Amino acid sequence: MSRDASSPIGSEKMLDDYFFSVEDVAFAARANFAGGARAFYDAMDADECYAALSRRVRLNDGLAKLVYERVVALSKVSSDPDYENPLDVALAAYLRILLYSSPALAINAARVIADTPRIWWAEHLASKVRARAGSDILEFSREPNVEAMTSRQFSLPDSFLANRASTQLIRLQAKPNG
Amino acid sequence: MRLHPDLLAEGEKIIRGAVDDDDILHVRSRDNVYNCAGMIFSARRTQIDIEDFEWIVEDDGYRELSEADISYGDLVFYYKEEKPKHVGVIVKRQTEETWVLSQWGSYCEILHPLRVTYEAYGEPRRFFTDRK
Repeated sequence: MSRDASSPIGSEKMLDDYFFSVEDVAFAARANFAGGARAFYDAMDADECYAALSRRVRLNDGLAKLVYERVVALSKVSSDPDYENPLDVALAAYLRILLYSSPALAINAARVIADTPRIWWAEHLASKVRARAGSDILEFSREPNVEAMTSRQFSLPDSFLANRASTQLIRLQAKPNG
Repeated sequence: MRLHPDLLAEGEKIIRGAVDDDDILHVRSRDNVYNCAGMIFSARRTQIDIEDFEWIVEDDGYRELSEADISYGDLVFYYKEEKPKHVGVIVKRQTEETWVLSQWGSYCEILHPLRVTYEAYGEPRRFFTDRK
């Protein structure tokens, strides 16, 4: 039976498929090859399911709430304390989707992520969202050039980067150990 | 904090699938504390965003050179779609083969031929040296 995106049931099934893909270990594994934030986002964009889900959520405000609910649900999933949270990439992916579709939910999601243990990529993005909460930057997230927002606008100003002593602080953002 | 075993296994599967003959890849170490740029610019202590490399190499006194002039100890930056994706250090340079040591994402340090990498890293494009 073909899926009908216009029907609520078909739409839900399709969404579950997208959620499954974004939360799958294969998606996380590919993203973890990234050497930096932009490469990490590029890896996400290269994934058909992520791209399709992101597109659908941007076109339908009601879906953003479902994505937010996935963030809340994933943040409550217990994981082995000896390892990084295997849902780290999925949380980052959902937060990024919310950034593009519902800034208010993105801020809430970023706060939920703050309490999620042993994550790296998701917290990397969430900390920037929390820092920007209250400013007008997030309000621009509906504009087409969303890449610029997640990378350049989240970067520190050039004046701050000009000083080597200051930049050491940025360069040495160690992954949490132990 | 170590990667979850399921994620590690999937990553290794992708690495082995990146080449026709996986005997060509030699894993030196498995660690996810650092990434490719962190392996080189932070002595394996942390992650550094590859996007920051231009000002780091300038700050650290590197100079760019052509592939023909590279030697062991020099750096190679891989590009895809005009964006830097990966960096490694040249460890062996002979007439017919060049070998690179680089950290592949959050997975492992690998000794690999210059033009054999994970496909998302693209091609070797720019080379730098700090030789005096």
